[in-house]
Amino acid sequence: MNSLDSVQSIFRDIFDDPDLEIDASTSPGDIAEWDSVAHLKIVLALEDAFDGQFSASDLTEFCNVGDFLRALENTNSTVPVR
Amino acid sequence: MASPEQLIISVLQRPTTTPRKTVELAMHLAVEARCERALEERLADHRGMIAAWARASLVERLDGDIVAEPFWERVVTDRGCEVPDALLKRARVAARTGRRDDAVALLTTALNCGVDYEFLTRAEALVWKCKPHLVTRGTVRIALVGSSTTALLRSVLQCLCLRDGLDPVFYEAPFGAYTQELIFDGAGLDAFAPDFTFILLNWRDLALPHICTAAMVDNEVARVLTLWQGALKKTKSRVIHASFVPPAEDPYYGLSSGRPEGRIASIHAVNASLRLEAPDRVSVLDCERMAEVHDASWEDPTQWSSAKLYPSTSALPTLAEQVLSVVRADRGFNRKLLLLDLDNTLWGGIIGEDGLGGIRLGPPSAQGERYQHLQSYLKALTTRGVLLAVVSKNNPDDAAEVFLRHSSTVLRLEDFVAFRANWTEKARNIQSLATDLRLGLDSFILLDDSPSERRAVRRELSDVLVPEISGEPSETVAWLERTLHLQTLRLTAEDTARTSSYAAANQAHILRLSSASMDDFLNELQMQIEYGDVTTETVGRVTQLINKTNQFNLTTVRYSEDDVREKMNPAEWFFRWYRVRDRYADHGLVAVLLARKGPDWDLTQWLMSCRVIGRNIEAFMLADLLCQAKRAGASSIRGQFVPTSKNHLVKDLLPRLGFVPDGLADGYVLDVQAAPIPACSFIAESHSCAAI
Repeated sequence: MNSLDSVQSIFRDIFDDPDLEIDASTSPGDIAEWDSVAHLKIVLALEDAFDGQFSASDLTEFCNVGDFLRALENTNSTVPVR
Repeated sequence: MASPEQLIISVLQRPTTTPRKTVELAMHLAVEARCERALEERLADHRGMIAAWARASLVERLDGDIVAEPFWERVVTDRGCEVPDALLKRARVAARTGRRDDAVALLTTALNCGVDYEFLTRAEALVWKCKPHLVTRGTVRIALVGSSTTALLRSVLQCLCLRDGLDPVFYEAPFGAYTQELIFDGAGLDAFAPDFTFILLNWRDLALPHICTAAMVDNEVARVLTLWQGALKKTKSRVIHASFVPPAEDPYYGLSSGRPEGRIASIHAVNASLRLEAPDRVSVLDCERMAEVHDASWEDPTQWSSAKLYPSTSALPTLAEQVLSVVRADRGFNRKLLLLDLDNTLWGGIIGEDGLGGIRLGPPSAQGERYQHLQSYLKALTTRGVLLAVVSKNNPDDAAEVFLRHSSTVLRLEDFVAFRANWTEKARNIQSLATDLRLGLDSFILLDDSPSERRAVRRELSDVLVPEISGEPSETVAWLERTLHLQTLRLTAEDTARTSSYAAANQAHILRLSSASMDDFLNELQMQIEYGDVTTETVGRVTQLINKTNQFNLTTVRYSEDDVREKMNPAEWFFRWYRVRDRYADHGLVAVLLARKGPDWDLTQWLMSCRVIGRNIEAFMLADLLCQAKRAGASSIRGQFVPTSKNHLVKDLLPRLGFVPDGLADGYVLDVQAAPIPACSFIAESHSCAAI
């Protein structure tokens, strides 16, 4: 279960759809109920699930699921050194 | 080397944050290690909520949510209470498979658990889908007018309205345009015609600098009053206003709350004036108090700056419950009567098995004190019109005896409008009680620690609200405070008269105390002492006191319970317990005196719990001892102070009470026939239970 799985389970709860499949390219255009309020709810739920806080400037810049995943990587304390 | 399953189970055995997050972590590990099935099989041998939760999650992932449903049913706390997240999972399956009544029952039970914001986010979409089956009480039109983002508050309110059978229709005023909306004509508020207008402002909206003038405060009060007038004139709605919570930070480091012109004090002054000025159709919510008791911070600086959220999301459910309690009270939908189970709900233990001396109610048991406090809380509810009734599976005589004879009971038989202690099914008792009292089942709440009774009543009588409480008294009070199902719009004139006379008495008390002598202080306490010979009923507490009292303890000789029992023989021993109550509290059995009888009596034990030290209770004990010694024709009482590292307090006890040194080290003697019996006029009342 990677980050995408966790994000997916949050999406499934928020949109009450157990079969919802998302990937990095999923954007508000793909889910009818994904409006600005839902967007805010997703951000807050992700912050709660990952015990992190996105920087305030990030919030408006998330355009799709991939943006969430990249931001989560940045909030996590352990990042592999290349 | 441990297998991955073993390692993951050890994670589950040491939960770090919430159970939910612990399980999520375990799931993550199981997927990475590809051991989901092996872990699931292993967890079958483990008990406890978290193990059951992890197992249900694994089955759901491996075999789908329908197969997982019975596994979610096993996710309950160690005291048998349902877990909101497990209820939500079951509700989802029930809704998807067409069992609508089940889904509604599961959802409402979960939403009545006092759930947090994150849970509501997860539940919201499902609640919305179940709306047609939840609504039983019609529509309610709510306008949200504020200076912050109200969208999330709206979501939370929506869930809670639907839980309570109300179909909410919302109007959200354009962001930040509250003045225009409330005062100027032609704005959307007029057309919406709300039943309720909730005005949510915060301290930033008050133009108050760090040091203010009285005129500034008056000005802000007048401005808010104008907003209320606008809403009252434009609409027929009840106005609900959130009082202003002072900011968490204060560059004056608290000094500004101590000065009337400081900003913090000024914000409180604005709130106080608004409460005084509030017309009948305005309800002012006490947000200062909500903020104080809220377990996280009321505001979140990041949430404010990034999304203009006020208060913080964690505070939204608390605020929404308050708003909703006013909505329900206005519509007459609040509850009026508490049905109370007895064993492990109003006291600890089982009266039919443990007996009057064995149940935990009042001191010295810590849990007993919490039950006593719960009883005081319930008693206070009755003074504002809430009705109490007993519904318990018990022998009626056993049950009544507690309220008639237990020395720590706060509730009395006359506090109950009905007393159904019998062996009939609870649902039938409740049904007949509703008929007798001519009250609807939808005005009842049942407080019961038994999971099976709760489930049965919920199944039979779905209108009765049955919260998931474990019977732990502090949880019961917290639930009542959180969900406010007993809210009324205002206190009646009678309620407030009663309260103000208490306030006056209390004020006088403070004044007197501040200038009083020790005698006045003791008189003010209105102490009542009850005392008697040590018997089987009191042997437990007496043994405990003998073994744990360190400070006020003349000899510090420890006894086993058998030692104590040996001395329960009035022919040889004078062995007394003393119980103290005052106008503030019942301190319970707090002192013990033991002397060997004979021509000369020997003081063997003299000890007192530290909760009542400094009240001259020792004078009363000496009076009792001396009376009995005189009556028995003893010539003297001998005593010895045995010093320890902790009992300096009683070094001079005996000489202070008139004993004289007898020549031995720390030994004293009192001439029984010559010694006067100490006057104890500061004891308001004493009552002997001794068989003399």
